[in-house]
Amino acid sequence: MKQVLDLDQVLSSDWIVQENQTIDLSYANRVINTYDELGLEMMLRLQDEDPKCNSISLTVGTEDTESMLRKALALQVEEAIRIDHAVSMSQTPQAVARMLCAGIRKIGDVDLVLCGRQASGSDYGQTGLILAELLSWPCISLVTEVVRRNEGWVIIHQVDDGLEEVVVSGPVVLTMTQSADHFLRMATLRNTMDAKKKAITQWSLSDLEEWKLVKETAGVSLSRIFTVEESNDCAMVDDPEFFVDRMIEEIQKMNQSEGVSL
Amino acid sequence: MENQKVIETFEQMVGKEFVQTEEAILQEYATDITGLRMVQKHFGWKSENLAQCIVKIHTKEEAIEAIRFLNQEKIVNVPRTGGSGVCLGLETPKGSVVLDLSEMNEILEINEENLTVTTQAGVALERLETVLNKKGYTTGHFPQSLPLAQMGGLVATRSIGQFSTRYGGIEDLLVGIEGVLPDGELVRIKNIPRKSTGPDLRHIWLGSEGTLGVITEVTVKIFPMAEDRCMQAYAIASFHTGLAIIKEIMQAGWKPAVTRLHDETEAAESYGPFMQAGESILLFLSEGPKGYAALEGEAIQAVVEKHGARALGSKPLELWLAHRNDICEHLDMYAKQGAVADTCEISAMWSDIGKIYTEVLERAKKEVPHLVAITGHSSHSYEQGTNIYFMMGAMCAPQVEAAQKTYDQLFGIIMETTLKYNGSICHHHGVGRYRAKWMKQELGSAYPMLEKIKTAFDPNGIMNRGALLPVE
Ligand SMILES: Cc1cc2nc3c(=O)[nH]c(=O)nc-3n(C[C@H](O)[C@H](O)[C@H](O)COP(=O)(O)OP(=O)(O)OC[C@H]3O[C@@H](n4cnc5c(N)ncnc54)[C@H](O)[C@@H]3O)c2cc1C
Repeated sequence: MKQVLDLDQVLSSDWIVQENQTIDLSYANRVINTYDELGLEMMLRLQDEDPKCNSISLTVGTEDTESMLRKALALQVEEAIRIDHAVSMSQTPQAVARMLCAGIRKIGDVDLVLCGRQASGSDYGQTGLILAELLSWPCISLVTEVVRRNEGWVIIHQVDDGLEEVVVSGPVVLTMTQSADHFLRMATLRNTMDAKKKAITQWSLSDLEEWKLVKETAGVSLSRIFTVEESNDCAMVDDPEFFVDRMIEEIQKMNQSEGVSL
Repeated sequence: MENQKVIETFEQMVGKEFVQTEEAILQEYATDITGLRMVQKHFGWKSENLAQCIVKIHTKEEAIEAIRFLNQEKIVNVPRTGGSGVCLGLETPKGSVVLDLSEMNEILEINEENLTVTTQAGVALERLETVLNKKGYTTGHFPQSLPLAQMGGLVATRSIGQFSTRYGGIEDLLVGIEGVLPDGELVRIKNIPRKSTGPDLRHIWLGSEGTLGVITEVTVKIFPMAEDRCMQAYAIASFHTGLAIIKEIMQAGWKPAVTRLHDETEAAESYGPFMQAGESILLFLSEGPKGYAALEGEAIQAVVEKHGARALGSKPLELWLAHRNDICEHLDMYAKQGAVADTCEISAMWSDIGKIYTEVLERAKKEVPHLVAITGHSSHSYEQGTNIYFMMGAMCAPQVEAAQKTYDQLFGIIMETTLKYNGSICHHHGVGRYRAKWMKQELGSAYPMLEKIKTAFDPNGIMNRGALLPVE
């Protein structure tokens, strides 16, 4: 799971890139990435169905991310693990996937990894896919539904022109996307209070035997962020009699000014 | 009369295309957006008490004819406009007729000399506000349901807006009104700034919730747009200190248009990065003619500093302004998460309001087994007291009955505690069908007045039966 800033809160007037290539998001709340919430809800549903199913929430992050893990514990996830590392903007999903991979190997007996298809901020949409590759497990992306069947799972996921149902046996990585009736449930106040007292397992990178990062930044660095200027030039064509002629004329004018021919 | 005859009569009266009878539409019109129904629908609830038809009313003449016919046939009807009610006031009794005035939506006159606007009942408040803003005016009325509510419903529920300390509730804004009584008589109360000619008859319509007739037209005040604004937010150690601060500001005679106090849970949820553990947040927005806002802003600052508040600048206010009505786009957000959630607003005198807040929170935390949260804020204040707007949610088994039980328990705690401390069970959402069962306790020895008014106006009991007054 990844903790992100609630970008919906940010005022449109504040989307200004500052000199140091950042935007002031200091007042935005920290929340669980929307797509990870879907993974979490799916995992809880599997746990509801099968009491023998053990659930773990795993994240890479600093102490700040513990409020997210406590929320997962309040929702009755059995264990929460934090790999203690400050993920920087210049770190690609490669690095995060490697840490998660090392974490999952340390946990050991894992059948199913559910993660979001992407983060709702600072995202590359790659972590789950790279993680599967590193684990040498299959990966099914854009999953909307998971149901336990015998020793495997029935998975419904989005494909180009609809939904596809596949049957898999673990271990497998799934990346979750929205579906009409999946929303993260709410934790009761009592469970939220109890979760405050629960222990969160913390691993440092040196605790992870399998941890080998070839290149810290994988050769990518942030050079600039910028907003795309939107133009909403508008011409009023109000005389119905000449509507089509005027439309053509206006479009030609617009295209000429942009150096494009009709 | 048989249903088919009723439908045919209305088809002749208003035109076939304006009478709807399809079951899916009747289901949609069967209730309003009360939190209870939102979650129950998620668990499969469907109304067993459908209206026989929805009649779209476009003129006062149609309204008169429709009501006359319904009265003659003794058929219960439910008037409605925006459909944003939250107390089951729109829940259709079986076989009733819904009179939908939402397409009766002309802005009739903007009078810049007297500063009034006259509209038909179905004018959407947000549209009216946009039209007025372009001319440099405002209604000063901003309920959170601004994108949903319409003028008739706003008057019929005694609504209030987020800038109420300066502009007042709808009762302070209403200048004149026209409506059709249950016997079909059209009555108008003319536009006058103030008068002393017996009881103020506008108050028969204000809060009538469709039980005393159908509102067809309203005239409300308008105001020149404020020239200046001053916005400030403060963190304070406790909710009760916040109440004391607001009391002091109100009683000193200041009227910050927006005066809000959110408790620690709401503060952390909406303004997390500004807050320290346990703090509540105060939001003030002053506005008015040039010079007023700064003057009021300084006076507020002096009071809050005396109480040891921590200044947070204007950002929290900017955030509040930008997001204050977001919920209208996600009305079923909590229901989708399987939670029984709603809001409940009560009011009381300064001597009692703090006790109600504390006791409601204590009781809910102790008594409601799967409580998710219960929080409160004060958002409309007066010299004599304030309101508390409780927001509550609890999980339950995904069943219609379980949701009802949980909802009744949560609401019951708030109603009982409010009545225990002589508060009012409803500050601005109206009574509807849900709170009607507490109305006798609410009004006490004055209850027969309401009963007598209802019987005098509507002897056949055709107007929104079951709303406002409980059915015996
Ligand atoms: C998200 C949300 C936020 C809200 N925030 C506020 C708020 O800040 N302040 C506030 O006061 N309320 C608020 N409400 C409640 C609701 O918006 C108000 O009660 C509003 O006044 C209802 O207007 P409406 O046009 O939607 O009326 P409807 O829902 O259509 O009807 C409400 C009641 O009025 C009666 N009625 C409607 N039209 C007529 C008519 N023409 N003649 C006679 N009776 C009629 C109906 O029979 C019913 O009893 C909120 C509701 C929601 C969903």
